[in-house]
Amino acid sequence: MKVPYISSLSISQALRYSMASAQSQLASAEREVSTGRLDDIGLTLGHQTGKFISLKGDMQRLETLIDTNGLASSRMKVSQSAISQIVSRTEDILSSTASGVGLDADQSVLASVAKTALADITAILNTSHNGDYIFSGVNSDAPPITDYETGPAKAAFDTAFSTFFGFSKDDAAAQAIDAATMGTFLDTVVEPQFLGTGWATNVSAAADDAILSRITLTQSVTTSVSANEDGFRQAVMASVITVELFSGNLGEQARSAVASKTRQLAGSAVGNLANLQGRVGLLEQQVTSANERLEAQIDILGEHANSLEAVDPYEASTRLTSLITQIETSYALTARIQKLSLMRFVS
Amino acid sequence: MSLYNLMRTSVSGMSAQANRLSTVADNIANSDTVGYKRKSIAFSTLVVPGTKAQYNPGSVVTTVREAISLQGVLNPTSSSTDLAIDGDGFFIVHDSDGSPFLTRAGSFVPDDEGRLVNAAGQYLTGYSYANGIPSAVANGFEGLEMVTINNTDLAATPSTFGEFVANLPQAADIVTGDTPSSNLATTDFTQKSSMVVHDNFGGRVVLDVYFTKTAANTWEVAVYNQADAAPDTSFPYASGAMATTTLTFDPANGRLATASSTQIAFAVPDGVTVDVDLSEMTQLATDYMVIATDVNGNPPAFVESISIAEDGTIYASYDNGSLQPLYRIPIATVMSPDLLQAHSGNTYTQGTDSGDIQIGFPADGDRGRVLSGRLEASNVDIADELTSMIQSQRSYTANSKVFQTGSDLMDVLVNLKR
Amino acid sequence: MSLTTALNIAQTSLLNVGRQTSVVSTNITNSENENYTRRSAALESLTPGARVVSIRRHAALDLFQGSIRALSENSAQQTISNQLDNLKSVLVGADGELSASASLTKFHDALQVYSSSPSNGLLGESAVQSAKDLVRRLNDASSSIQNTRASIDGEISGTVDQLNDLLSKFYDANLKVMNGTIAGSDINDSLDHRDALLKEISKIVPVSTINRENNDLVLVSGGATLFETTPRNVTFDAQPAYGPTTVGSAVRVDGIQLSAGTGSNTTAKGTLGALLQVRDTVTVNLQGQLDEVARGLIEQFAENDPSGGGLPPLAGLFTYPGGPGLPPAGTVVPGLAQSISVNALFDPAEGGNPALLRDGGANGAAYVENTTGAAAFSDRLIRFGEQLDKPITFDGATGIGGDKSLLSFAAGSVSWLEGYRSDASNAAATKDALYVRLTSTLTAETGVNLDQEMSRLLDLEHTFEASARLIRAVDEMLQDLLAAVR
Repeated sequence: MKVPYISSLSISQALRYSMASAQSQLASAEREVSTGRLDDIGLTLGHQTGKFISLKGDMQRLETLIDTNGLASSRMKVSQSAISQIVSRTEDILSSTASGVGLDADQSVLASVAKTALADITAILNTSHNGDYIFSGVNSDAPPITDYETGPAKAAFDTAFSTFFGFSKDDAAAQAIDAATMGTFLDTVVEPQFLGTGWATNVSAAADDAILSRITLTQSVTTSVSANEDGFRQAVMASVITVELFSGNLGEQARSAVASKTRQLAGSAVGNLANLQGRVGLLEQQVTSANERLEAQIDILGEHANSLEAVDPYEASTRLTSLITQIETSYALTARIQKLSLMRFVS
Repeated sequence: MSLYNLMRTSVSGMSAQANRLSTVADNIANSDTVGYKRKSIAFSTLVVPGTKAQYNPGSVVTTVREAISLQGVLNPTSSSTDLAIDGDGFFIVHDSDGSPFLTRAGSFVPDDEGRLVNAAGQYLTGYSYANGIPSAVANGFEGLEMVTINNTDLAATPSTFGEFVANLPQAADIVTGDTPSSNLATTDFTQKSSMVVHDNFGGRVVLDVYFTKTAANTWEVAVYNQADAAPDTSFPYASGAMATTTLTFDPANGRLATASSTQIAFAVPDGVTVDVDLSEMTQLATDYMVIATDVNGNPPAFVESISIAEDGTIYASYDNGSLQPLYRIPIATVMSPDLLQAHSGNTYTQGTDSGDIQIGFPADGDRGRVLSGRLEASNVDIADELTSMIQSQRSYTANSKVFQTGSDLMDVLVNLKR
Repeated sequence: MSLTTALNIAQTSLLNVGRQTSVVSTNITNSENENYTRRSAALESLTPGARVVSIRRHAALDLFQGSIRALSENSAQQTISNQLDNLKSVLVGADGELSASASLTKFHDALQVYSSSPSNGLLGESAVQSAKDLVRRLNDASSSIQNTRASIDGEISGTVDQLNDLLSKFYDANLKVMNGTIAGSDINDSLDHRDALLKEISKIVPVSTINRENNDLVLVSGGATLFETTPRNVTFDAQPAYGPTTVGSAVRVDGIQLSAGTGSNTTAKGTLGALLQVRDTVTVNLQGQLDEVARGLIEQFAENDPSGGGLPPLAGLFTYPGGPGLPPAGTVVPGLAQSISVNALFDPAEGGNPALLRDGGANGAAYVENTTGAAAFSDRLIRFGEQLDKPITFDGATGIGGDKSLLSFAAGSVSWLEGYRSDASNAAATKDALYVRLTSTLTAETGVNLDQEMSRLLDLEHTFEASARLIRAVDEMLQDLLAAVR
């Protein structure tokens, strides 16, 4: 049998190498135990690192979407309550016009109720939220409704009245206007001013396009309601004609025609607004469910990312312990090998 | 007159012992002399014829014997010019007059002229390599000259032949464009090596050797002077290829085909034509691998040290790593070394009965080998000498007693007359 | 045989013990020297009665050859691994925070936030700011890569100088060995020295050796002659600075170009091949990936003619010196990551208007998408956000080409680098282990065992004592003899 030769240097070096490698592993194991994460993710995951970074990035992006969805939700919540208020104002008008239209005193009360309602509806439609006018559609930097009294709408109405009848509503001749003529006036002249093109010219600065929001990475929905919706127009028109025509010199017949138009408009407005509320509710629902999906996705991504970077704490601490044992053994061995020298026995 | 004879005999005995004591004295005196050979005295009788009735004492005659053929212990030394012969034979040395002597005392040192001189002032001789490989003149001292070392500056030797052995990769792609032989900037090649050759002045010329596969089993070999290379790309060289040749390989075994050229010859600038042997080239399915590359010739250089081989060749090693034989030390032998004529300085010449001096090279036949860094100690053994001395002393005393007895008897005889 | 002979032999013995002791002491002195090869002094009988010491060097030639081959491979792999660690730290950061992917994600978020409230100019500014961060990251990453290349180039230059220096030292060492061999003197120290130089050289380039007469060595690296009688020139032209299109010059050994290694488990042997690999392949790929990210950004954020009127798409938020025309699709444009910038028209810091990002029109009114100037116009922003997830074609020359989204390409770049690094690190561990094993086998074989030397010293002590005793005995005998002479 060949007796292999071994040099003293290689005896001590063997331990030195294993010690150095054990110590560097020890440092990394210590970090893994304390953080619970891989010490060097890239080194361990290799080609999967990009996946890990994508997962982390996607989680971040989804969280941002949840944040921005919050904005859309709150906008819609504000819209929702605004619409309910408008509905109640419109119902006020409806109920006022349903009762007495005969007395002069009642007329002025009715006019003032309608006036308040109009101011309220205008103010509500001009609600801004987070710097945006929520009913302006995409044109959110401008209030959607110009004030009726001071804006061009009133002038346009007065001009239209004078042009149609040949006198103003305060003129004595106004007493003689019959219901049919008034009906024609309201249907052919006033209605286009509110339900037709006149709305955009005189009353509304809102855009028809509602605000588009991206609620998931791939889905975008509108998350606002434009003041140009029919319900708002009808509500405004109902209140405007009540304010205007119940304050002038109109006769009984004409007033009843106005009142009936008002009731018709207000009724249809309430219906349309209820529809709108339903639509907004649906959108809110969509955002909420998008959020739920996002949360679920974040959880899944998080779990996945965690499975990539996490270290089994039991495994890591076992490794740490065995490394420490190994190093201690090395120390002990070194000490014993140092004693193992012929020098100690030869004096 | 036998009494007289008796006294004469004892005198001869005494003088013989005195003779012997002289050799002992000499031996002890030279017990540390390098190459000294112990001397001894051989005694023999000289018989004076008598009659049947009367014995005539004769006398003892002495002959000096030298134990020349007995080799002394070879002691190691630290000088490479200390030489000893392990075996039979002698160095041939010259005294200052140029007369040849034989010796085994090899403690040589270079003198101011670079001649190797021993303790006795004799110069080592050898055959010079100046005119080619020397041969020994068997029966004469002709051709021997004093070994002189220090001013033997080496004249540069131009390269004349070399060998290059490599494996060319069998799987290499065939070069279809310009090959090195065309010396164009677009030249492509398969493999390249370089080798150093020496010109007439010993200058080093680095040669680029290109191997280019031009067809299956066919390789072009082109040699260029690296000094002409264009920077970085090498090609085009300032002057064309020094030589080109084509190697064809036998597809059966990857060795050179019988029809293939087996060498490439080119003239080194300022030098002579170098033949590089390519006959061992192979083309096997492995990487390019240089197996041997060697070219003779050497640059000018100074002697750095002297070494002496066992065959007696004195080599000078130069500071460039080359080795050059300068001299070869011959060894002389005679039939009977013990009968050589001794001279001062442990030297010998041919004696009347020693036989003719035969000159040959070390380790040749029964001649010994030359060991450098070693000296032959004297073969004197002190104990032996002291014993001889005691013996001589006793014999001398005994002889003197005989003489005294004879003298006393003579006295008695003379007194008879009274 | 005689008393004098006995005396002479004892004397020689003392001399031999002296020389053997000196060998033992040389061994002990060098027991911690890795490049030292153990010697032993052996006695030879030359002529009856005379013994000489010959010193044998316990070289293990095949182990040594194996160990320098492993050394070449190991030093190449360590170099690759270290360089990749360095690249990772500047291009990816500890947790990917420095990667283009991370900046891209941040930019996407800023866009998303802006799209949720497009009327908010501050959010627009922040989106542009985030775009600027992204561009700066690309610019920085690109210059870090080029700085790395320049520093590698400097390292190559230094290594080449070192190699030339080592070769000229090798010339001297080789000469000493040859002279010593010719003169028959003790060349072991010279051999140790020459082997140590060979080790140093093989760290830099792979070396195979050819033995010639008189222990002359010829060194061959790959196919190129490195040393034959004289050292060959290793040349390299260092580039003072590196740009993305700079092509580094080659290292030439005796006129032959030194080939760079390939693959993460590199084929290079020696640091030079590895450095060339990092300089010419790895960093160039990484630069190409960044360039493709830059090109993808320019392409995805280009302005299109909203009317479909056939005006060409032109560079929008992200532009480059060749703008406003778009770079050719599907092909890497070297240096784009270095030259990409945020269009000044968008940048409020340069008097630009971030709202252009919402509205379009940086290239003239024909490109305005938000024709009504609506403040909450988010379509365009949403489209941009979504486009980061839409596949475009990337150049395959970057190592990770194909049809993929910008975000996944950016993440793929991280994967590429980390995968390369991880493979290189694993290969480095393997090659290091092989080298350590071969070296320890070599040192085990050629190194000095102190215990053995000590016991040899004891033996020598005994021999010395015995020889001295012998001399005294002979002396006493001669004394007796002399006493007999009266």
